[in-house]
Amino acid sequence: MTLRSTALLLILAACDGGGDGTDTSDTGGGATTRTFEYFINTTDVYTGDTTCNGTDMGQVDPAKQVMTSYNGEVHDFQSEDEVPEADIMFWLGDDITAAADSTLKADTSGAFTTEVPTCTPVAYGTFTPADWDQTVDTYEVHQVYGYEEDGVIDGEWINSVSQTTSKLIPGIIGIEWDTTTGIIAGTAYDCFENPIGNAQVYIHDGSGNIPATGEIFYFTDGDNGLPTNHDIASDASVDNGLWVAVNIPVGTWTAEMWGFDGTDYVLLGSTVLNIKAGSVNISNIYTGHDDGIAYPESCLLVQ
Amino acid sequence: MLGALWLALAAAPAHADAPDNWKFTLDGYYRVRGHAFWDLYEGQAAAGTYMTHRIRLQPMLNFEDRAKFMMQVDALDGVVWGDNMSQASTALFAGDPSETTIEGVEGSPVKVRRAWMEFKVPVGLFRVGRQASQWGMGLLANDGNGFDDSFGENKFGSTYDRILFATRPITVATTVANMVNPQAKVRDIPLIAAFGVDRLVEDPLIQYYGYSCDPDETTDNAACGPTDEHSWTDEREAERRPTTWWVDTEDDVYEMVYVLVYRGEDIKFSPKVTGDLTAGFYIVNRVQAETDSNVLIVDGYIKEEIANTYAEAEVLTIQGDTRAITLASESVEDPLGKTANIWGYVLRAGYQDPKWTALMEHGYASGDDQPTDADFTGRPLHPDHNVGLLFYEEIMSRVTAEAWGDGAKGLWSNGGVYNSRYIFPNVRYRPLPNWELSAAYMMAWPDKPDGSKILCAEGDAVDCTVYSATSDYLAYEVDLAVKHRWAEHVNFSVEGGFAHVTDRIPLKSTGMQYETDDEGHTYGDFWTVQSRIAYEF
Repeated sequence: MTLRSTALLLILAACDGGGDGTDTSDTGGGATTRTFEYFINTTDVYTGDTTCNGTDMGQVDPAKQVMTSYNGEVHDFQSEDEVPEADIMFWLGDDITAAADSTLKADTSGAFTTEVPTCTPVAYGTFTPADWDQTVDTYEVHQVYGYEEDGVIDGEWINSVSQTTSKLIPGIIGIEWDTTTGIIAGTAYDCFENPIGNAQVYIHDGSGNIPATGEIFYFTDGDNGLPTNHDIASDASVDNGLWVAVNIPVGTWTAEMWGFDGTDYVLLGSTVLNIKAGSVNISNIYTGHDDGIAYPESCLLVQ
Repeated sequence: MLGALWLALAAAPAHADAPDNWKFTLDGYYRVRGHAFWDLYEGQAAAGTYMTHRIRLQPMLNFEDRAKFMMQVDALDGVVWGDNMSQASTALFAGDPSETTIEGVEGSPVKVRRAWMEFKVPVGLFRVGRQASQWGMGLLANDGNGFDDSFGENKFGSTYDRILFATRPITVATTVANMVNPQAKVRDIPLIAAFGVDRLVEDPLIQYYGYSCDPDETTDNAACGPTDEHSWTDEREAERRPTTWWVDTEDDVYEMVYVLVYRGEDIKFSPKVTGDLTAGFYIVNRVQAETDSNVLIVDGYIKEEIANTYAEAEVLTIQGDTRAITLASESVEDPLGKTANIWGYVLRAGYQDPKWTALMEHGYASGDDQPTDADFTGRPLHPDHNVGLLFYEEIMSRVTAEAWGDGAKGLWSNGGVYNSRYIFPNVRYRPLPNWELSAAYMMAWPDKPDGSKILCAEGDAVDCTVYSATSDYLAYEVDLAVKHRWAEHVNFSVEGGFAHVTDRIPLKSTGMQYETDDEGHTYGDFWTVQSRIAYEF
């Protein structure tokens, strides 16, 4: 287990739900009023460089959008062990509600080969048969692979979340995961893809309607990279930007990242993703982007 | 086990018989148990049934009651009837049964569970080896021997690699006093003191690193410094152990055991009233250097049987500090530091005579609503302390296993009383010799709902994210049993139970059968019939 997996273990111990005792909108353990303020309420000023917010994030160079060989591996999200014989789907249009563009199977060491377009958002999913009781359906949307001069993407992993991890998440944070809903886990990033501290996430249907279920949890001890519990004072991610949303209903949702600048709450970025029942969805939010898609430098037109 | 020790100590020292006066005895049983469950899992179409074996052999080599060697060997323990490993390629043609357990994996056809020696010295008795441990009602240390439960059976059993010395200090003193002055006739007091050492771990296979930091990140934690990349623990293959694996003492886990028990029999409380009284303490100090673990377990027990009254109680607490549990808290300075504050108890009292036994039992196991904070407060009672057939034994066992998953097996209930308090009145009636009818009712309430294994309800004195439950209690259960013994050695029972489980338990998310009421709250009704037939010898 590496330190990266230690950081990922944060997911297992994601903490500090919006409905805990420090949340003033929580009426003392009873029914809660699920408003914007229920989710966005910290008065800790966010950290990170967000000067790019509201500015032109650059144009993608169409010449860099080419089909490229992709030699990848499927790894467990938490342990980083290879996941052998996992089924893999790629959606080259970045839409997991559409038919998959490619369906393949990892070999016994978790390796696979396919083709994906560079500098184009794509989505993938990893699966193992339910009878194996090994993994949960894992999706990651808005993946953008940088342009490769040699025409080959080598050594990049795609993730698979184990049943063990998916059970530990709600177990540790103290919530029942209804598997007719989904989980979203991601990181809040600033303009330079460094984690934002004290960011909070708000999920709605694109028109401001909050899902009937779903709680947001954060990781609160970014300095030491260790997981914590859910009974802490802060209601926002601290330095690591990590967040997880549990029991998000099936459907398409917008996840917005907000920060408090000392006076007002500021919308820093957002992403849009579709949730399927019983799935874990890995999705980051980037400052200045409203679609969760961040293009690598290698994809952008040189100004 | 301490009861057995008492008997051994009470026995008169053997006189000089023939030099090789060996006796060999063989105790044990062969048991078959059948299980049937209705609507246990979501989507279960019909009653699920299975049957299991167990052979338990307990040979003893006894030299004049002065030196004994004993073993306990289990065979086919928990093995499910039939060929469940496709030893026959076509199931319909199966004929040779496999050793598959209910977990769906191959079991060990024969296992030497325990082997120990026991010998007397002039002032006491030593017991050395891999041995059973039993104290009081078995809430903490439960040997799992025999068929001592009203409902269900023992499945686990506490076993320790232990050196134990037991003595009757007052007996020794009175013996000396009476030898010095035979006229004094100093009275003995049946007080037993025992001291033992358990070696629990010589070298854990999973390496412990404790707090570690990313060398690429800055941190103000004093414990951090340049280090190899690793987490708190690292799984290791047994083959990767160096030859010096046993040398490191920092990772050893051991415990000191102290016992003091008074066991008075046929005590005259008045000219017409005699009875038995047992009372004592079982104290354990468990330590591990590398995790800074120093835990004190205190377990008190008292039992009286006077006239037709019967009462016993056991109270245990686990206190101390540790950094061994890698569910870290929010503390930046000491994320792995945990302080244990665990409590459990059972009180049982009632009436008994040759035909009737009527008991009221009440028990408690403290829970932990936040397993990742610095307070470690939850621990189930020993799983061989059975309370009914269904709720704790089957439902909570499965719910905690499913909710925690394989990543936290140490937090499963395994059928023990879990994060709750309960009442368990039960009645036994013996209408004829060798026949017994039993009936019991169980009702359980939550201690500290954690939101994932026991759901939170409005008004709970815990801090939950979601308060989705509405019920005050966890479940109620009704159990019935008929037990019969014939041919002196054949032990037969039929037991049945019904449990109603409320919306406090996450049945839906853990794959259990559930119904939904008009308000959308889930509940479950569960049935079981189980039967045992055993040949005891």
